[in-house]
Amino acid sequence: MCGVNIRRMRQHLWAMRATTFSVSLFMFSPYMGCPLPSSWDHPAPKIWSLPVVLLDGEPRELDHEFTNLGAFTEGEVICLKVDGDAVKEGLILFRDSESEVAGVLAGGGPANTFFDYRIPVSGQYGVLVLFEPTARDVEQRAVLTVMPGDPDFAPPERQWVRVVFEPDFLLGLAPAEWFTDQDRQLLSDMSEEVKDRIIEYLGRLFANTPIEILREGEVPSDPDTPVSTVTFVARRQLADPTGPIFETMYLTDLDDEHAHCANDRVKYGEAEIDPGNHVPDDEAVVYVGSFQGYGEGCRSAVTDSVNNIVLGLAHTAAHEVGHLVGLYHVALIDIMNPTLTLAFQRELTFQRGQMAVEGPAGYEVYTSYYQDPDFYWRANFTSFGE
Amino acid sequence: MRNAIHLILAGVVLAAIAACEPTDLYFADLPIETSIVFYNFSTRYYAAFGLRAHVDPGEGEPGELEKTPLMAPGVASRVNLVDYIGHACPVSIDVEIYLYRRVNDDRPIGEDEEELVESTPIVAGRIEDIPGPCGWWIPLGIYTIANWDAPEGVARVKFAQGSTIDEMILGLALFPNEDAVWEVHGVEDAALAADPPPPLMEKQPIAGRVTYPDGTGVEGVVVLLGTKFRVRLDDDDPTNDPDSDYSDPIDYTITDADGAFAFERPPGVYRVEFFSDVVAFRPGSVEVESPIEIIEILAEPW
Repeated sequence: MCGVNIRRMRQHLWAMRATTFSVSLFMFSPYMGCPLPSSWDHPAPKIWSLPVVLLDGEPRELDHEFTNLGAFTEGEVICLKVDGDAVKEGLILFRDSESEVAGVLAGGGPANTFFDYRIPVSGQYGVLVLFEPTARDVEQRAVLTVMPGDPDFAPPERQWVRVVFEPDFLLGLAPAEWFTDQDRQLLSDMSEEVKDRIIEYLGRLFANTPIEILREGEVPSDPDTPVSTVTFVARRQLADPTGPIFETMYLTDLDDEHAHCANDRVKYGEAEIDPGNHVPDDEAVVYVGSFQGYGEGCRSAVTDSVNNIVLGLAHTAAHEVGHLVGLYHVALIDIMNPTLTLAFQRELTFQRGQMAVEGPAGYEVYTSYYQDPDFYWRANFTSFGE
Repeated sequence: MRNAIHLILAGVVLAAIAACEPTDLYFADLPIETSIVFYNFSTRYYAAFGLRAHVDPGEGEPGELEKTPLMAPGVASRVNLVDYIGHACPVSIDVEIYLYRRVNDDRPIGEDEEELVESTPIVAGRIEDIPGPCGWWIPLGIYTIANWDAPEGVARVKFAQGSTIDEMILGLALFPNEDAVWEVHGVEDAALAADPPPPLMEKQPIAGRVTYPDGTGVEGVVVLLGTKFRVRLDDDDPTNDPDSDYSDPIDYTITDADGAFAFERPPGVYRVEFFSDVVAFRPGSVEVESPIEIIEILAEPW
């Protein structure tokens, strides 16, 4: 319907950390005074039964955030563009089962730009529009154009990622005002060992994926292939205290005993999500100093042992590499979960889960949309899953 | 006038009913997927749990409870609920607890290869209609069910510790004790003790290396393994400490020429501790949740 803003399919949101959001949702809920709504008591949206759009190159204003593209055969190429001032990106979803109501992330691309997509597996596909988290409802308007794409288009074989360590990166964990010279010397002495362990662990995490980890100075088998970079820098990165909550986090709320500790909002790592992996040489950063804690007597568990240092830094790097190739956050504990876990340090993996996307008040779980890294690798890289 | 009032009242009631209807059923969502972690924080007893989504009487068949494997002290079992009980986010759950005594209780667990337990539980109980992961307005992504350390013949089970569900359980006064735990004394129903204990949970590695700062391995370091236990919520009373800690060692090993060490234990929460007469460690112990194969400990000469 022309001139009408996009209808949100998600009536019930889970703001993962934003209690205030839940309170306001409750206060202004149309259900106030009625039995509490329970979304699972209602039928989920039959997204795959929505009318199929034609591949005719005609721009169409969208009524819903999801659009059914219909069925395709493996190897077909489609070309699409999602326009709109508040559109952040367009995601391609695959119907990976007989479910009428759920889709799995299969690719995507930036807003306001045509991009090609090769169908990795025969089946039904759709487009999900993501808006800027700060966009108001009335600004959430999008126009979709779809047509047959370049039949010669193929996604890359693999993605190379070089891991770079800034000199003295590990000293970010031990600022001179809180740590002794001996502590700092020890960190300096063991930095080569920590580098090796991080590289080794990243290699293990990305084994059996199309992502190849390179050390500094290493070149891909084809030297002309573009390479993404993840850099470990020593600094502690403070976040804009008025910025959106999903960009930052506190380690924890401070109890009385630690009231003197600095409770800054910091960023642990940073990378732009590259939906569909269209930028093969993008960059990510891990802020090592952000793991240091809050001051004397307020050190975080990350600095307790080499083991914790390696796990904390490598998990963050793997998370950012995930974004560089187009993975989003997921709701369950996983490498792509946005919450830092310090208790009972353990090895995490990339798992299938419901997508958690930045909304105005924190993360919103898109319960009908799943991310399955194994399928994503297969859909966006030719070296995987053949 | 009276008719007019009735009409107005009827209008208000109808409006209220209409307001209670979802605006558009078509645009609702799937339930959010949540997970449960079962912990056995006992020092001595092996535990198993049963779980299912609660069904109110007259609203269908509740089905069987899904049982965990047999969990040694310290063991953690993480399950995605939709895979485990076919329900992504139950509002309410039914839970069973079983505790078993070891046959070779006088031996450290690590030296007890088969880890046999007695065929009947010393504690068995069932509780129904406990607030589940979707028991509150905002779903709880990770819901914990922990068996705490308790005297023989007693199980103390804590639901969703430190969460909104925990507050809800407290508010409802479901368990009238200081820690708001479900206490089970002995076998509450003989039928619960009829089945043999479930099989032991599969073992996985807890492994790593002890090295000098240059990466060279340190041979001959004694590595001890302890399990996490909890007796009560942390309190300010020093006379009853510890409220939680790690057990005496259940197993040990010695690093090889490359500084490497490895244990095989079911996934869980462990403290790995290091001893040597010739080197000091930074730190002397680490607390981890297994499986984990990348424990890194730094050594320095005394």
